[in-house]
Amino acid sequence: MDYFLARFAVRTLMVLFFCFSLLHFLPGNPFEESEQLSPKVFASLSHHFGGDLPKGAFFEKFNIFLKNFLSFDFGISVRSPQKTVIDVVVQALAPTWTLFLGSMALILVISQILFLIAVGLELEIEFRNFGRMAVTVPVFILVPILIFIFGFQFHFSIVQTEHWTSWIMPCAALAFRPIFLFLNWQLLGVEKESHRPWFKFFLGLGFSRRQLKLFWSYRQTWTSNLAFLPGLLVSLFMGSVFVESLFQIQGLGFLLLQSLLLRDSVTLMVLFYLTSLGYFLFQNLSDYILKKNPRDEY
Amino acid sequence: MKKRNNLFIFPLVILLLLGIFKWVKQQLLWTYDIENVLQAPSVSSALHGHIFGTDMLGRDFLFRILIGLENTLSIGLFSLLLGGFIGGFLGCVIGFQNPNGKVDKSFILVLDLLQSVPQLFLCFIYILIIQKQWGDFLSPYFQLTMALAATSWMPVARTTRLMTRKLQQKNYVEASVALGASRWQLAARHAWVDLRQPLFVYLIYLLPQFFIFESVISFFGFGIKYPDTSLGLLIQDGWKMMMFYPHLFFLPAVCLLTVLLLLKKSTNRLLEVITQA
Repeated sequence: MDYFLARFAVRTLMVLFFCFSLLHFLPGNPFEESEQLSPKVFASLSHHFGGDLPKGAFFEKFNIFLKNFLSFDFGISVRSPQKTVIDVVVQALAPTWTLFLGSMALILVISQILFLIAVGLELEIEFRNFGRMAVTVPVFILVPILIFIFGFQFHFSIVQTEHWTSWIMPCAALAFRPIFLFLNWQLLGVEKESHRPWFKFFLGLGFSRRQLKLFWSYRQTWTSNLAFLPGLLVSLFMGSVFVESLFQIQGLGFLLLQSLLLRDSVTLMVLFYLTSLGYFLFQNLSDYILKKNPRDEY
Repeated sequence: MKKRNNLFIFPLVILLLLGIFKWVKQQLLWTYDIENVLQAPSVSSALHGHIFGTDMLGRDFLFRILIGLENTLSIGLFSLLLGGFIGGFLGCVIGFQNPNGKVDKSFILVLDLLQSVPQLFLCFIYILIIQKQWGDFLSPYFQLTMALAATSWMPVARTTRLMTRKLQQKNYVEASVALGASRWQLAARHAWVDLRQPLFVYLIYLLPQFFIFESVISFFGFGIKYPDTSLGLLIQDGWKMMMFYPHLFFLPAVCLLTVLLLLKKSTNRLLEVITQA
Protein backbone atom coordinates (compact mmCIF):
# COMPACT_ATOMS: atom_id res chain seq x y z
CA MET A 1 0.00 0.00 0.00
CA ASP A 2 2.85 2.38 0.92
CA TYR A 3 4.46 1.71 -2.45
CA PHE A 4 1.27 2.66 -4.31
CA LEU A 5 0.77 5.80 -2.21
CA ALA A 6 4.39 6.87 -2.75
CA ARG A 7 4.09 6.20 -6.47
CA PHE A 8 0.89 8.24 -6.63
CA ALA A 9 2.56 11.14 -4.78
CA VAL A 10 5.62 11.14 -7.06
CA ARG A 11 3.46 11.06 -10.17
CA THR A 12 1.25 13.88 -8.89
CA LEU A 13 4.34 16.01 -8.28
CA MET A 14 5.62 15.25 -11.77
CA VAL A 15 2.28 16.16 -13.34
CA LEU A 16 2.30 19.44 -11.44
CA PHE A 17 5.82 20.25 -12.57
CA PHE A 18 4.92 19.42 -16.16
CA CYS A 19 1.78 21.59 -15.97
CA PHE A 20 3.81 24.45 -14.49
CA SER A 21 6.37 24.21 -17.31
CA LEU A 22 3.73 23.98 -20.04
CA LEU A 23 1.84 26.94 -18.59
CA HIS A 24 4.85 29.20 -19.29
CA PHE A 25 4.77 28.36 -23.01
CA LEU A 26 1.02 28.44 -23.60
CA PRO A 27 -0.66 31.54 -25.03
CA GLY A 28 -2.68 33.47 -22.45
CA ASN A 29 -0.58 32.34 -19.49
CA PRO A 30 -0.56 34.31 -16.22
CA PHE A 31 3.18 35.02 -16.38
CA GLU A 32 3.27 37.35 -19.38
CA GLU A 33 0.80 39.89 -20.74
CA SER A 34 -0.93 38.90 -23.96
CA GLU A 35 -3.84 39.94 -26.14
CA GLN A 36 -5.76 36.82 -25.07
CA LEU A 37 -6.25 38.13 -21.51
CA SER A 38 -7.94 41.37 -20.53
CA PRO A 39 -5.78 43.54 -18.20
CA LYS A 40 -8.15 42.90 -15.27
CA VAL A 41 -8.12 39.11 -15.69
CA PHE A 42 -4.36 39.08 -16.25
CA ALA A 43 -3.74 41.13 -13.09
CA SER A 44 -5.87 38.75 -11.02
CA LEU A 45 -4.30 35.58 -12.45
CA SER A 46 -0.79 36.99 -12.32
CA HIS A 47 -1.23 37.85 -8.65
CA HIS A 48 -2.73 34.42 -7.95
CA PHE A 49 0.11 32.45 -9.60
CA GLY A 50 2.99 34.72 -8.58
CA GLY A 51 3.44 36.16 -12.07
CA ASP A 52 4.29 39.51 -10.48
CA LEU A 53 7.38 38.02 -8.81
CA PRO A 54 10.80 38.73 -10.42
CA LYS A 55 11.74 36.66 -13.48
CA GLY A 56 14.38 34.53 -11.77
CA ALA A 57 12.13 33.45 -8.87
CA PHE A 58 11.37 30.07 -10.45
CA PHE A 59 11.11 28.02 -7.25
CA GLU A 60 8.99 30.65 -5.49
CA LYS A 61 6.59 30.63 -8.43
CA PHE A 62 6.51 26.83 -8.49
CA ASN A 63 5.86 26.79 -4.76
CA ILE A 64 2.82 29.08 -5.19
CA PHE A 65 1.62 26.98 -8.14
CA LEU A 66 2.00 23.80 -6.12
CA LYS A 67 0.05 25.19 -3.17
CA ASN A 68 -2.73 26.47 -5.44
CA PHE A 69 -3.08 23.25 -7.42
CA LEU A 70 -2.86 20.95 -4.40
CA SER A 71 -5.59 22.95 -2.65
CA PHE A 72 -7.67 23.08 -5.88
CA ASP A 73 -7.56 26.87 -5.88
CA PHE A 74 -7.03 27.76 -9.54
CA GLY A 75 -8.04 31.43 -9.60
CA ILE A 76 -10.67 33.09 -11.77
CA SER A 77 -11.88 31.75 -15.10
CA VAL A 78 -10.96 33.56 -18.32
CA ARG A 79 -14.27 32.52 -19.89
CA SER A 80 -16.41 33.95 -17.11
CA PRO A 81 -14.26 36.10 -14.76
CA GLN A 82 -17.00 36.36 -12.13
CA LYS A 83 -16.52 32.64 -11.41
CA THR A 84 -13.49 30.65 -10.30
CA VAL A 85 -12.04 27.87 -12.47
CA ILE A 86 -13.05 25.21 -9.97
CA ASP A 87 -16.68 26.48 -10.08
CA VAL A 88 -16.67 26.25 -13.86
CA VAL A 89 -15.19 22.75 -13.74
CA VAL A 90 -17.67 21.53 -11.10
CA GLN A 91 -20.54 23.00 -13.10
CA ALA A 92 -19.32 21.18 -16.23
CA LEU A 93 -18.78 17.96 -14.33
CA ALA A 94 -22.49 17.18 -13.85
CA PRO A 95 -23.44 16.71 -17.56
CA THR A 96 -20.21 14.82 -18.24
CA TRP A 97 -20.85 12.58 -15.26
CA THR A 98 -24.33 11.76 -16.57
CA LEU A 99 -22.84 11.07 -20.00
CA PHE A 100 -20.13 8.85 -18.50
CA LEU A 101 -22.58 6.87 -16.35
CA GLY A 102 -24.99 6.36 -19.25
CA SER A 103 -22.16 5.30 -21.54
CA MET A 104 -20.65 2.97 -18.94
CA ALA A 105 -24.03 1.29 -18.48
CA LEU A 106 -24.38 0.87 -22.24
CA ILE A 107 -20.81 -0.41 -22.57
CA LEU A 108 -21.29 -3.00 -19.84
CA VAL A 109 -24.71 -4.23 -20.96
CA ILE A 110 -24.13 -4.34 -24.72
CA SER A 111 -20.59 -5.71 -24.56
CA GLN A 112 -21.70 -8.50 -22.22
CA ILE A 113 -24.62 -9.43 -24.46
CA LEU A 114 -22.29 -9.49 -27.48
CA PHE A 115 -19.77 -11.49 -25.48
CA LEU A 116 -22.35 -14.13 -24.55
CA ILE A 117 -23.49 -14.35 -28.17
CA ALA A 118 -19.90 -14.62 -29.43
CA VAL A 119 -18.89 -17.35 -26.99
CA GLY A 120 -22.27 -19.12 -27.06
CA LEU A 121 -22.23 -19.41 -30.85
CA GLU A 122 -18.45 -19.93 -30.92
CA LEU A 123 -18.00 -16.90 -33.16
CA GLU A 124 -15.19 -15.25 -31.18
CA ILE A 125 -12.87 -14.69 -34.14
CA GLU A 126 -15.63 -13.18 -36.29
CA PHE A 127 -16.71 -10.86 -33.46
CA ARG A 128 -13.15 -9.82 -32.77
CA ASN A 129 -12.54 -9.04 -36.44
CA PHE A 130 -15.75 -7.05 -36.59
CA GLY A 131 -14.80 -5.25 -33.38
CA ARG A 132 -11.41 -4.32 -34.83
CA MET A 133 -13.15 -2.80 -37.83
CA ALA A 134 -15.80 -1.03 -35.74
CA VAL A 135 -13.25 0.78 -33.57
CA THR A 136 -11.76 2.44 -36.63
CA VAL A 137 -14.92 4.53 -37.13
CA PRO A 138 -14.04 7.92 -35.65
CA VAL A 139 -16.55 9.53 -33.28
CA PHE A 140 -16.63 12.77 -35.29
CA ILE A 141 -18.00 10.79 -38.26
CA LEU A 142 -20.24 8.53 -36.21
CA VAL A 143 -22.05 11.35 -34.36
CA PRO A 144 -23.15 13.30 -37.47
CA ILE A 145 -24.29 10.04 -39.08
CA LEU A 146 -26.35 9.19 -35.98
CA ILE A 147 -27.82 12.68 -35.94
CA PHE A 148 -28.56 12.49 -39.66
CA ILE A 149 -30.29 9.10 -39.42
CA PHE A 150 -32.13 9.37 -36.12
CA GLY A 151 -32.47 13.13 -35.76
CA PHE A 152 -33.24 14.30 -39.28
CA GLN A 153 -34.90 11.21 -40.76
CA PHE A 154 -36.76 9.72 -37.75
CA HIS A 155 -37.12 13.02 -35.81
CA PHE A 156 -35.54 11.55 -32.70
CA SER A 157 -34.73 14.12 -30.00
CA ILE A 158 -31.20 15.46 -30.51
CA VAL A 159 -31.69 18.61 -28.45
CA GLN A 160 -30.77 18.26 -24.79
CA THR A 161 -33.84 18.45 -22.57
CA GLU A 162 -34.68 17.49 -19.00
CA HIS A 163 -36.09 14.20 -20.24
CA TRP A 164 -33.77 11.20 -19.98
CA THR A 165 -34.43 10.07 -23.55
CA SER A 166 -32.42 13.02 -24.89
CA TRP A 167 -29.32 11.39 -23.39
CA ILE A 168 -29.69 8.15 -25.37
CA MET A 169 -28.03 9.37 -28.57
CA PRO A 170 -25.02 11.11 -26.92
CA CYS A 171 -24.45 8.09 -24.65
CA ALA A 172 -24.73 5.67 -27.58
CA ALA A 173 -22.29 7.75 -29.63
CA LEU A 174 -19.79 7.89 -26.76
CA ALA A 175 -20.18 4.20 -25.96
CA PHE A 176 -19.93 2.85 -29.52
CA ARG A 177 -16.13 2.52 -29.73
CA PRO A 178 -15.51 1.41 -26.10
CA ILE A 179 -18.15 -1.34 -26.46
CA PHE A 180 -16.03 -3.07 -29.08
CA LEU A 181 -12.77 -2.29 -27.31
CA PHE A 182 -14.11 -3.88 -24.13
CA LEU A 183 -15.57 -6.83 -26.02
CA ASN A 184 -12.25 -7.49 -27.77
CA TRP A 185 -10.36 -7.16 -24.49
CA GLN A 186 -12.66 -9.71 -22.85
CA LEU A 187 -12.61 -12.13 -25.76
CA LEU A 188 -8.82 -11.93 -25.75
CA GLY A 189 -8.79 -12.60 -21.99
CA VAL A 190 -11.01 -15.68 -22.39
CA GLU A 191 -8.80 -16.88 -25.23
CA LYS A 192 -5.72 -16.55 -23.01
CA GLU A 193 -7.46 -18.46 -20.22
CA SER A 194 -8.19 -21.32 -22.62
CA HIS A 195 -4.43 -21.97 -22.94
CA ARG A 196 -3.96 -22.49 -19.20
CA PRO A 197 -3.40 -25.97 -17.71
CA TRP A 198 -6.65 -25.94 -15.70
CA PHE A 199 -8.65 -25.37 -18.87
CA LYS A 200 -7.03 -28.35 -20.57
CA PHE A 201 -7.55 -30.43 -17.44
CA PHE A 202 -11.29 -29.80 -17.36
CA LEU A 203 -11.48 -30.28 -21.12
CA GLY A 204 -10.02 -33.73 -20.54
CA LEU A 205 -12.70 -34.43 -17.94
CA GLY A 206 -15.37 -34.04 -20.58
CA PHE A 207 -16.48 -30.42 -20.18
CA SER A 208 -17.15 -28.62 -23.44
CA ARG A 209 -15.02 -25.64 -24.51
CA ARG A 210 -18.12 -23.43 -24.53
CA GLN A 211 -19.13 -24.44 -21.00
CA LEU A 212 -15.67 -23.74 -19.63
CA LYS A 213 -15.42 -20.39 -21.39
CA LEU A 214 -18.85 -19.21 -20.29
CA PHE A 215 -18.76 -20.32 -16.67
CA TRP A 216 -15.07 -20.30 -15.70
CA SER A 217 -12.91 -18.24 -18.04
CA TYR A 218 -15.50 -15.46 -18.03
CA ARG A 219 -15.26 -15.14 -14.24
CA GLN A 220 -11.48 -15.25 -14.36
CA THR A 221 -11.27 -12.33 -16.80
CA TRP A 222 -13.21 -9.93 -14.59
CA THR A 223 -10.25 -9.15 -12.33
CA SER A 224 -8.02 -8.33 -15.28
CA ASN A 225 -10.78 -6.10 -16.67
CA LEU A 226 -9.88 -3.64 -13.91
CA ALA A 227 -6.67 -2.84 -15.76
CA PHE A 228 -8.85 -1.72 -18.68
CA LEU A 229 -10.64 0.90 -16.55
CA PRO A 230 -8.07 3.79 -16.48
CA GLY A 231 -7.59 3.67 -20.25
CA LEU A 232 -11.36 3.49 -20.74
CA LEU A 233 -11.91 6.62 -18.66
CA VAL A 234 -9.30 8.56 -20.62
CA SER A 235 -10.84 7.35 -23.87
CA LEU A 236 -14.32 8.38 -22.67
CA PHE A 237 -13.02 11.83 -21.72
CA MET A 238 -11.62 12.44 -25.19
CA GLY A 239 -14.77 11.02 -26.78
CA SER A 240 -16.81 13.44 -24.69
CA VAL A 241 -15.05 16.37 -26.43
CA PHE A 242 -16.65 15.36 -29.73
CA VAL A 243 -19.97 14.25 -28.35
CA GLU A 244 -20.43 17.31 -26.16
CA SER A 245 -19.37 19.75 -28.85
CA LEU A 246 -21.60 18.18 -31.51
CA PHE A 247 -24.62 17.80 -29.20
CA GLN A 248 -23.93 21.15 -27.49
CA ILE A 249 -23.73 19.62 -24.00
CA GLN A 250 -22.02 22.01 -21.58
CA GLY A 251 -19.75 19.39 -20.01
CA LEU A 252 -16.02 18.94 -19.45
CA GLY A 253 -15.28 18.07 -23.08
CA PHE A 254 -17.07 21.21 -24.23
CA LEU A 255 -15.13 23.19 -21.61
CA LEU A 256 -11.86 21.78 -22.94
CA LEU A 257 -12.71 22.84 -26.48
CA GLN A 258 -13.81 26.30 -25.36
CA SER A 259 -10.58 26.70 -23.37
CA LEU A 260 -8.56 25.75 -26.43
CA LEU A 261 -10.42 28.26 -28.60
CA LEU A 262 -10.22 31.05 -26.02
CA ARG A 263 -6.57 30.22 -25.18
CA ASP A 264 -7.59 29.81 -21.53
CA SER A 265 -4.32 28.19 -20.48
CA VAL A 266 -5.11 27.92 -16.75
CA THR A 267 -8.31 25.94 -17.37
CA LEU A 268 -6.43 23.77 -19.86
CA MET A 269 -3.79 22.96 -17.27
CA VAL A 270 -6.47 22.30 -14.65
CA LEU A 271 -8.13 19.79 -16.99
CA PHE A 272 -4.74 18.26 -17.74
CA TYR A 273 -4.00 17.96 -14.02
CA LEU A 274 -7.40 16.47 -13.16
CA THR A 275 -7.30 13.98 -16.03
CA SER A 276 -3.82 12.79 -15.06
CA LEU A 277 -4.81 12.61 -11.42
CA GLY A 278 -7.90 10.56 -12.24
CA TYR A 279 -5.91 8.26 -14.50
CA PHE A 280 -3.19 7.64 -11.89
CA LEU A 281 -5.78 7.15 -9.15
CA PHE A 282 -7.61 4.46 -11.11
CA GLN A 283 -4.36 2.91 -12.30
CA ASN A 284 -3.09 2.67 -8.73
CA LEU A 285 -6.38 1.28 -7.52
CA SER A 286 -6.50 -1.38 -10.21
CA ASP A 287 -2.83 -2.27 -9.67
CA TYR A 288 -3.40 -2.52 -5.95
CA ILE A 289 -6.40 -4.77 -6.44
CA LEU A 290 -4.53 -6.93 -8.90
CA LYS A 291 -1.62 -6.96 -6.39
CA LYS A 292 0.87 -6.55 -9.15
CA ASN A 293 2.17 -3.84 -11.38
CA PRO A 294 2.07 -4.99 -15.00
CA ARG A 295 3.05 -1.60 -16.38
CA ASP A 296 6.47 -1.69 -14.73
CA GLU A 297 7.21 -4.79 -16.73
CA TYR A 298 5.86 -3.29 -19.93
CA MET B 1 17.57 -18.13 -51.13
CA LYS B 2 17.02 -14.86 -49.34
CA LYS B 3 13.40 -14.26 -48.45
CA ARG B 4 11.78 -11.23 -50.06
CA ASN B 5 10.80 -8.60 -47.51
CA ASN B 6 7.25 -7.44 -48.33
CA LEU B 7 7.12 -4.95 -45.50
CA PHE B 8 8.71 -2.06 -47.27
CA ILE B 9 6.14 -2.16 -50.06
CA PHE B 10 3.61 -0.60 -47.70
CA PRO B 11 4.98 2.99 -47.47
CA LEU B 12 5.79 2.81 -51.18
CA VAL B 13 2.09 2.16 -51.87
CA ILE B 14 1.13 5.22 -49.82
CA LEU B 15 3.75 7.35 -51.59
CA LEU B 16 2.49 6.03 -54.93
CA LEU B 17 -1.05 6.97 -53.92
CA LEU B 18 0.12 10.47 -53.04
CA GLY B 19 1.76 10.69 -56.46
CA ILE B 20 -1.45 9.55 -58.17
CA PHE B 21 -3.46 12.17 -56.24
CA LYS B 22 -1.06 14.84 -57.41
CA TRP B 23 -1.35 13.68 -61.03
CA VAL B 24 -5.18 13.52 -60.94
CA LYS B 25 -5.25 16.95 -59.34
CA GLN B 26 -3.13 18.38 -62.13
CA GLN B 27 -5.39 16.78 -64.73
CA LEU B 28 -8.49 18.18 -63.05
CA LEU B 29 -6.97 21.61 -62.67
CA TRP B 30 -6.68 21.97 -66.42
CA THR B 31 -10.11 20.44 -67.12
CA TYR B 32 -12.20 23.16 -65.49
CA ASP B 33 -12.56 26.65 -66.73
CA ILE B 34 -11.38 28.87 -63.87
CA GLU B 35 -13.64 31.74 -64.92
CA ASN B 36 -16.75 29.58 -64.70
CA VAL B 37 -15.99 28.07 -61.32
CA LEU B 38 -18.21 30.41 -59.32
CA GLN B 39 -21.12 29.92 -61.70
CA ALA B 40 -21.13 26.19 -61.12
CA PRO B 41 -23.98 24.60 -59.12
CA SER B 42 -23.45 24.03 -55.41
CA VAL B 43 -25.15 20.64 -55.32
CA SER B 44 -23.98 17.34 -56.75
CA SER B 45 -24.30 17.32 -60.49
CA ALA B 46 -22.42 15.09 -62.86
CA LEU B 47 -24.13 16.84 -65.77
CA HIS B 48 -21.85 19.83 -65.41
CA GLY B 49 -18.75 17.66 -65.47
CA HIS B 50 -18.25 17.62 -61.72
CA ILE B 51 -18.38 13.97 -60.68
CA PHE B 52 -18.73 14.72 -56.95
CA GLY B 53 -20.55 18.00 -57.49
CA THR B 54 -19.24 21.27 -56.12
CA ASP B 55 -18.90 22.82 -52.69
CA MET B 56 -20.67 25.94 -51.47
CA LEU B 57 -18.24 28.20 -53.30
CA GLY B 58 -18.67 26.32 -56.57
CA ARG B 59 -15.29 24.56 -56.40
CA ASP B 60 -15.06 21.04 -57.74
CA PHE B 61 -15.56 18.73 -54.75
CA LEU B 62 -13.53 15.81 -56.10
CA PHE B 63 -10.58 18.16 -56.43
CA ARG B 64 -11.07 19.38 -52.85
CA ILE B 65 -11.30 15.80 -51.56
CA LEU B 66 -8.10 14.87 -53.38
CA ILE B 67 -6.26 17.84 -51.86
CA GLY B 68 -7.69 16.95 -48.43
CA LEU B 69 -6.76 13.31 -48.79
CA GLU B 70 -3.26 14.19 -49.86
CA ASN B 71 -2.78 16.50 -46.87
CA THR B 72 -4.26 14.02 -44.41
CA LEU B 73 -2.17 11.12 -45.69
CA SER B 74 1.08 13.05 -45.93
CA ILE B 75 0.77 14.73 -42.51
CA GLY B 76 -0.13 11.42 -40.85
CA LEU B 77 2.70 9.59 -42.58
CA PHE B 78 5.45 12.18 -42.02
CA SER B 79 4.53 12.81 -38.39
CA LEU B 80 4.54 9.09 -37.69
CA LEU B 81 7.90 8.62 -39.42
CA LEU B 82 9.39 11.51 -37.43
CA GLY B 83 7.85 10.33 -34.15
CA GLY B 84 8.81 6.74 -34.95
CA PHE B 85 12.42 7.74 -35.47
CA ILE B 86 12.58 9.70 -32.20
CA GLY B 87 10.68 7.05 -30.23
CA GLY B 88 12.64 4.18 -31.77
CA PHE B 89 15.97 5.83 -30.99
CA LEU B 90 15.03 6.73 -27.40
CA GLY B 91 13.43 3.33 -26.72
CA CYS B 92 16.51 1.55 -28.04
CA VAL B 93 18.91 3.63 -25.94
CA ILE B 94 16.84 3.28 -22.77
CA GLY B 95 16.23 -0.43 -23.41
CA PHE B 96 19.96 -1.07 -23.21
CA GLN B 97 20.23 0.62 -19.82
CA ASN B 98 20.06 -1.27 -16.54
CA PRO B 99 16.40 -2.47 -16.25
CA ASN B 100 16.03 -1.30 -12.66
CA GLY B 101 18.35 1.68 -12.94
CA LYS B 102 17.49 5.31 -12.35
CA VAL B 103 17.50 6.22 -16.06
CA ASP B 104 15.05 3.46 -16.95
CA LYS B 105 12.71 4.22 -14.04
CA SER B 106 12.73 7.97 -14.76
CA PHE B 107 12.01 7.32 -18.43
CA ILE B 108 9.03 5.13 -17.57
CA LEU B 109 7.80 7.78 -15.16
CA VAL B 110 7.93 10.41 -17.89
CA LEU B 111 6.16 8.08 -20.33
CA ASP B 112 3.48 7.30 -17.75
CA LEU B 113 2.99 11.00 -17.17
CA LEU B 114 2.70 11.84 -20.87
CA GLN B 115 0.39 8.91 -21.53
CA SER B 116 -1.89 9.67 -18.61
CA VAL B 117 -3.73 12.27 -20.69
CA PRO B 118 -5.31 11.51 -24.05
CA GLN B 119 -2.80 11.90 -26.89
CA LEU B 120 -5.15 14.21 -28.69
CA PHE B 121 -5.36 16.54 -25.70
CA LEU B 122 -1.57 16.69 -25.57
CA CYS B 123 -1.49 17.31 -29.30
CA PHE B 124 -3.87 20.28 -28.93
CA ILE B 125 -1.61 21.75 -26.24
CA TYR B 126 1.50 21.28 -28.40
CA ILE B 127 -0.25 22.98 -31.30
CA LEU B 128 -1.07 26.01 -29.16
CA ILE B 129 2.56 26.17 -28.00
CA ILE B 130 3.96 25.78 -31.53
CA GLN B 131 1.54 28.41 -32.85
CA LYS B 132 2.65 30.81 -30.14
CA GLN B 133 6.39 30.19 -30.46
CA TRP B 134 6.88 29.57 -34.20
CA GLY B 135 3.47 30.40 -35.69
CA ASP B 136 4.87 33.29 -37.74
CA PHE B 137 7.27 31.28 -39.86
CA LEU B 138 5.87 27.73 -39.78
CA SER B 139 2.96 26.82 -42.03
CA PRO B 140 -0.06 25.03 -40.45
CA TYR B 141 1.10 21.90 -42.31
CA PHE B 142 4.42 21.82 -40.44
CA GLN B 143 2.84 22.94 -37.16
CA LEU B 144 0.51 19.98 -37.30
CA THR B 145 3.24 17.55 -38.37
CA MET B 146 5.47 18.66 -35.50
CA ALA B 147 2.68 18.47 -32.92
CA LEU B 148 1.66 15.00 -34.07
CA ALA B 149 5.26 13.79 -34.08
CA ALA B 150 5.68 15.13 -30.54
CA THR B 151 2.78 12.93 -29.42
CA SER B 152 3.55 9.86 -31.51
CA TRP B 153 7.01 9.06 -30.12
CA MET B 154 5.75 7.83 -26.72
CA PRO B 155 4.04 4.54 -27.61
CA VAL B 156 6.86 3.77 -30.05
CA ALA B 157 9.51 4.42 -27.39
CA ARG B 158 7.69 2.21 -24.87
CA THR B 159 7.37 -0.66 -27.33
CA THR B 160 10.97 -0.35 -28.58
CA ARG B 161 12.25 -0.33 -25.00
CA LEU B 162 10.37 -3.55 -24.32
CA MET B 163 11.62 -5.16 -27.52
CA THR B 164 15.21 -4.12 -26.76
CA ARG B 165 14.98 -5.62 -23.29
CA LYS B 166 13.79 -8.89 -24.78
CA LEU B 167 16.64 -8.70 -27.27
CA GLN B 168 19.16 -8.52 -24.42
CA GLN B 169 18.11 -11.98 -23.30
CA LYS B 170 19.21 -13.52 -26.60
CA ASN B 171 22.27 -15.76 -26.61
CA TYR B 172 24.30 -13.75 -29.09
CA VAL B 173 23.89 -10.59 -27.00
CA GLU B 174 25.02 -12.37 -23.84
CA ALA B 175 27.97 -13.81 -25.77
CA SER B 176 28.91 -10.37 -27.12
CA VAL B 177 28.72 -8.84 -23.64
CA ALA B 178 30.90 -11.67 -22.29
CA LEU B 179 33.42 -10.95 -25.06
CA GLY B 180 33.55 -7.31 -24.01
CA ALA B 181 31.11 -5.55 -26.35
CA SER B 182 29.58 -2.41 -24.84
CA ARG B 183 25.83 -1.73 -24.73
CA TRP B 184 26.26 1.17 -27.14
CA GLN B 185 28.01 -1.03 -29.67
CA LEU B 186 25.20 -3.56 -29.43
CA ALA B 187 22.55 -0.88 -29.75
CA ALA B 188 24.23 0.68 -32.77
CA ARG B 189 25.17 -2.50 -34.65
CA HIS B 190 22.64 -5.21 -33.78
CA ALA B 191 19.53 -3.75 -32.21
CA TRP B 192 18.49 -1.85 -35.32
CA VAL B 193 18.75 -4.98 -37.49
CA ASP B 194 16.65 -7.04 -35.09
CA LEU B 195 14.13 -4.36 -34.25
CA ARG B 196 13.40 -2.81 -37.64
CA GLN B 197 10.81 -5.38 -38.71
CA PRO B 198 8.58 -5.41 -35.59
CA LEU B 199 9.01 -1.65 -35.23
CA PHE B 200 7.93 -1.10 -38.78
CA VAL B 201 4.83 -3.24 -38.28
CA TYR B 202 4.02 -1.30 -35.13
CA LEU B 203 4.36 2.01 -36.97
CA ILE B 204 2.02 0.80 -39.70
CA TYR B 205 -0.37 -0.31 -36.97
CA LEU B 206 -0.35 3.25 -35.57
CA LEU B 207 -0.82 4.90 -38.96
CA PRO B 208 -4.67 4.97 -39.07
CA GLN B 209 -4.67 6.60 -35.65
CA PHE B 210 -2.60 9.49 -37.01
CA PHE B 211 -4.87 9.99 -39.98
CA ILE B 212 -7.72 10.24 -37.48
CA PHE B 213 -5.76 12.68 -35.30
CA GLU B 214 -4.99 14.91 -38.26
CA SER B 215 -8.64 14.91 -39.33
CA VAL B 216 -9.88 15.58 -35.80
CA ILE B 217 -7.52 18.50 -35.25
CA SER B 218 -8.50 20.05 -38.56
CA PHE B 219 -12.17 19.30 -37.79
CA PHE B 220 -11.91 21.48 -34.67
CA GLY B 221 -10.11 24.21 -36.59
CA PHE B 222 -6.61 23.86 -35.13
CA GLY B 223 -4.90 22.18 -38.07
CA ILE B 224 -4.94 22.96 -41.77
CA LYS B 225 -6.36 26.41 -42.55
CA TYR B 226 -8.21 27.81 -45.58
CA PRO B 227 -7.67 28.03 -48.55
CA ASP B 228 -5.84 24.72 -48.11
CA THR B 229 -7.94 21.81 -46.93
CA SER B 230 -7.89 18.40 -45.30
CA LEU B 231 -10.48 15.67 -44.87
CA GLY B 232 -11.25 16.86 -41.31
CA LEU B 233 -11.89 20.39 -42.52
CA LEU B 234 -14.12 19.12 -45.35
CA ILE B 235 -16.09 16.97 -42.90
CA GLN B 236 -16.51 19.96 -40.60
CA ASP B 237 -17.79 22.09 -43.52
CA GLY B 238 -20.10 19.27 -44.61
CA TRP B 239 -21.44 18.80 -41.09
CA LYS B 240 -22.62 22.44 -41.02
CA MET B 241 -24.59 21.95 -44.25
CA MET B 242 -25.54 18.32 -43.71
CA MET B 243 -29.29 18.83 -43.63
CA PHE B 244 -29.37 20.52 -47.06
CA TYR B 245 -26.35 19.07 -48.88
CA PRO B 246 -25.54 15.69 -47.27
CA HIS B 247 -23.03 14.85 -50.02
CA LEU B 248 -20.68 17.51 -48.65
CA PHE B 249 -20.40 15.50 -45.43
CA PHE B 250 -20.76 11.94 -46.65
CA LEU B 251 -18.25 12.00 -49.52
CA PRO B 252 -15.19 13.05 -47.44
CA ALA B 253 -16.39 10.91 -44.53
CA VAL B 254 -16.68 7.82 -46.73
CA CYS B 255 -13.30 8.62 -48.24
CA LEU B 256 -11.64 8.79 -44.80
CA LEU B 257 -13.46 5.67 -43.59
CA THR B 258 -12.38 3.74 -46.69
CA VAL B 259 -8.75 4.69 -46.13
CA LEU B 260 -8.95 3.72 -42.45
CA LEU B 261 -10.68 0.40 -43.07
CA LEU B 262 -8.31 -0.52 -45.90
CA LEU B 263 -5.34 0.29 -43.72
CA LYS B 264 -6.76 -1.69 -40.83
CA LYS B 265 -7.48 -4.65 -43.07
CA SER B 266 -4.04 -4.58 -44.67
CA THR B 267 -2.36 -4.16 -41.27
CA ASN B 268 -4.15 -7.23 -39.96
CA ARG B 269 -3.06 -9.14 -43.07
CA LEU B 270 0.49 -7.89 -42.65
CA LEU B 271 0.53 -9.02 -39.03
CA GLU B 272 -0.70 -12.46 -40.09
CA VAL B 273 2.06 -12.70 -42.71
CA ILE B 274 4.71 -11.65 -40.18
CA THR B 275 3.41 -14.09 -37.57
CA GLN B 276 3.43 -16.94 -40.08
CA ALA B 277 6.93 -16.01 -41.27
